[in-house]
Amino acid sequence: MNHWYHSWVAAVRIARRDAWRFKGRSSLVLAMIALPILGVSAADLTLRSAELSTEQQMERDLGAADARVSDPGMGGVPIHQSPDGRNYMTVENFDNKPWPDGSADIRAAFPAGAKILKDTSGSGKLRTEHGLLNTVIHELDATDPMAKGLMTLGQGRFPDKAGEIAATAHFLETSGLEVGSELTARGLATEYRIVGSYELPGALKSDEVLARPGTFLAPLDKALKADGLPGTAAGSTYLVSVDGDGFTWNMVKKANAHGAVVTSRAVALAPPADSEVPLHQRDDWSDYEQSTAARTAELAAIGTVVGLAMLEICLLAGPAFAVGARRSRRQLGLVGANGGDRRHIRAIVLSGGLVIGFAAAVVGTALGLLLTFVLRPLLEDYMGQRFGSFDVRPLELLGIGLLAVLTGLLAAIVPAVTASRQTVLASLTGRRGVRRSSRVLPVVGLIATGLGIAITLFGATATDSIVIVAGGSALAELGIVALTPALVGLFGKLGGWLPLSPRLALRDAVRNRGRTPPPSPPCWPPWRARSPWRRTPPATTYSSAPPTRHGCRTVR
Amino acid sequence: MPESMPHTSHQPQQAFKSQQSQQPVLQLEELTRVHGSGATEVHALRGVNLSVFPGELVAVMGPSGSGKSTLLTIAGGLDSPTSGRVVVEGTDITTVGRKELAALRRRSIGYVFQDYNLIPALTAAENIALPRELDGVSARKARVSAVAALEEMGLGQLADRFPDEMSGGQQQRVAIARALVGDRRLVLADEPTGALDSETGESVLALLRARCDAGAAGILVTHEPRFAAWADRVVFLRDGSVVDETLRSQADSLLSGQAAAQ
Ligand SMILES: Nc1ncnc2c1ncn2[C@@H]1O[C@H](COP(=O)(O)OP(=O)(O)OP(=O)(O)O)[C@@H](O)[C@H]1O
Ligand SMILES: [Mg+2]
Repeated sequence: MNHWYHSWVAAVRIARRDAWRFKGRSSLVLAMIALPILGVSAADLTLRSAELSTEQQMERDLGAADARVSDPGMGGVPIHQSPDGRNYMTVENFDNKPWPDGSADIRAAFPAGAKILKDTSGSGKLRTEHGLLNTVIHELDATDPMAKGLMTLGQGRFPDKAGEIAATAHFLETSGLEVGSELTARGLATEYRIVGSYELPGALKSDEVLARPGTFLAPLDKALKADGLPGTAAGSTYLVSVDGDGFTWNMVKKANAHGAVVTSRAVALAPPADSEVPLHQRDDWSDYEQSTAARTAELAAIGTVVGLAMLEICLLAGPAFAVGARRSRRQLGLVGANGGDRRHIRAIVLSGGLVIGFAAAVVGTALGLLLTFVLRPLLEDYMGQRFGSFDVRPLELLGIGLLAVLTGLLAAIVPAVTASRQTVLASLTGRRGVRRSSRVLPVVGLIATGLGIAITLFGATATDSIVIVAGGSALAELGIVALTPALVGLFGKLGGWLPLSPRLALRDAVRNRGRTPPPSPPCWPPWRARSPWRRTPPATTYSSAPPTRHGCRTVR
Repeated sequence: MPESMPHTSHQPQQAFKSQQSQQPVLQLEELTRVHGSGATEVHALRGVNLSVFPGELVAVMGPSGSGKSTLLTIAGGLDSPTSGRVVVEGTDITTVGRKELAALRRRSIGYVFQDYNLIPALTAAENIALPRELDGVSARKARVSAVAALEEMGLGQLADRFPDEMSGGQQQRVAIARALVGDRRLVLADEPTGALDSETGESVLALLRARCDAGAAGILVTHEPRFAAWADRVVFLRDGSVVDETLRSQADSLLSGQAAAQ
């Protein structure tokens, strides 16, 4: 059977060997395409690795416990909560009454026979080498098995008696103190010895010290209040371990009846059906999860940025392909003499883009993986949290790789069409065909540039849409590209007074307008545009603030 | 050169009775080609008639600028005539479109130029396979027939060599193999020996001759009388017109006479 793709096989073969024969030019284009691919694949990998699975998230939030129970501070009135414990509201309607206030009897909310570990934190100003540092003071028996996973010990050990504390590595870094140093808080004479350093896997950059329960916050609070200063604003939550199937949804609902909010591992791993969630069954409940409109806008913005980046690369790499096609003219002429149609010539030049795009995809993603792997500690530091796991998503990397292939192909389109328009004879003899510079092109370019600038200005001033701004920029840029040959010609006419070598260079540019790259693109960076997805989400009457680690939440 | 020759033997029509019973592979009728216009007008061809039959090798000779290359490019459809007809395997190629012309070049017409005939990115076998691959034949099939063609010509050992790993003579022989691969049986050779020493040139022409004896039709442009001696017929061009046409037997004596005269 005869098939069109057989001729593509031949075209790709020629392109592949040519890319190998002219390594210098190939690697230049390859680098241009591979570099952004490297960046994007590394970013994908980093973000995906930083994204935690539910199990990993639960380990960071709950340690080895089954649940964390916290008091929303509404006087213990019954509440309804969402399965993840992020949203809750009182069962009763308090619209026309004063909001309940005060703490709940949290112990009543614990299931019978549960093991409890109190987790308290407040804040104070600690004396460091560089002055006072406002620091989270955390009180928890870190040696309790339930606390396993909440923090990772670095040097030394966790405190095991009064007067000892451990500090986060970040705190040690910012404070200039080290394991073994003594430390005091403003307003309290007691000295604490730092016996160890640790990190919070989800918040590497937090400044925090850890003391045994009752040894730091209470005395400090008392001393501060005695001086008439604001106290430590300490609040507690409770890590709970139960026997059996963990802290079930039914147990959560019972705790809710006592006014407590629960984050449960068992519930997070197997959330109850909506019909079993009283909060979701209420008429006055609505889900303020990210709206689809915001999501669409985000996708459009990402698409626009990627599109613009590809356009820039194409404009830079295009001339390299044009030079390649010019250099291999005789070869293309021979293909023509042997029956190569225009589409075959196009296929060969396009295959050049395909081959380099493919190589760039492989090199870019491989280097992206490698770099992320090697630089993992640095990236984790930068992100401020430890990766859950090294999360390679083959499909996403494939998509990113496809972008490289597409970029290569797009960059080769114009050179391919130009090369295929040459007559076989002109290619073979190296004669230049009679080439009139197009009269339409500069006019189109001028119009496109003007229109593009207008659209961009309109988009930036009158609307919020990044898509309009970016689209306008792209249009103006393409317009300038279309204008380039005319501009180069114009400069050529003005170049008579130049000294010899620039005059020759200019004449060369004028005679080879196709490969002369466009001037540096006009840039209206997309991030200048006001972005819709940064606008604050609609306010809710319910607390949907992300839970602080220790669960002090307030209702507006 | 040609003007010194005696214009005696103007009877080629009579000589090819046996061949004329067959269809010519290539038929040029009243071919003219004018390059440029106005002051720079050049009449490269003025009313050329020529037929080439299967099994026949025709040499075209003439001074530089006499229109030999122009004749070949038009015969192969790389250039179009100002007037006249070019019939290849029964098809008037001056009337067909660009695509059909390319297809015709893939299937019917092979070129051999003076040098750099082979695509540097492809091995000998791949070069020979290319026209058929472009025609949509699978790479494997095309390669099999290409290797077979090479072996038939005693060039089997060249199959996997790239052009820059072959001598000039080897390259030209591979080019001849490519010109006649598949169904192609018209080879247009423009000074195929021009870049070779005479011994290598002889071996290249021997191959061309052998292919024509096997049924192909060929036009050979050359400056060298000793190479023209491989042809069945010699056509002399001067200023775009055929000034003489001789049979090989006569050409031999003519050429030796000419050599004696010099
Ligand atoms: N593209 C062209 N434009 C203008 N004139 C041309 C072109 N091609 C050929 N000519 C002219 O046509 C005439 C015939 O040229 P051609 O190349 O056919 O000669 P030739 O017999 O092959 O010469 P040589 O033996 O030097 O190769 C010459 O006068 C040449 O200058
Ligand atoms: Mg010539």
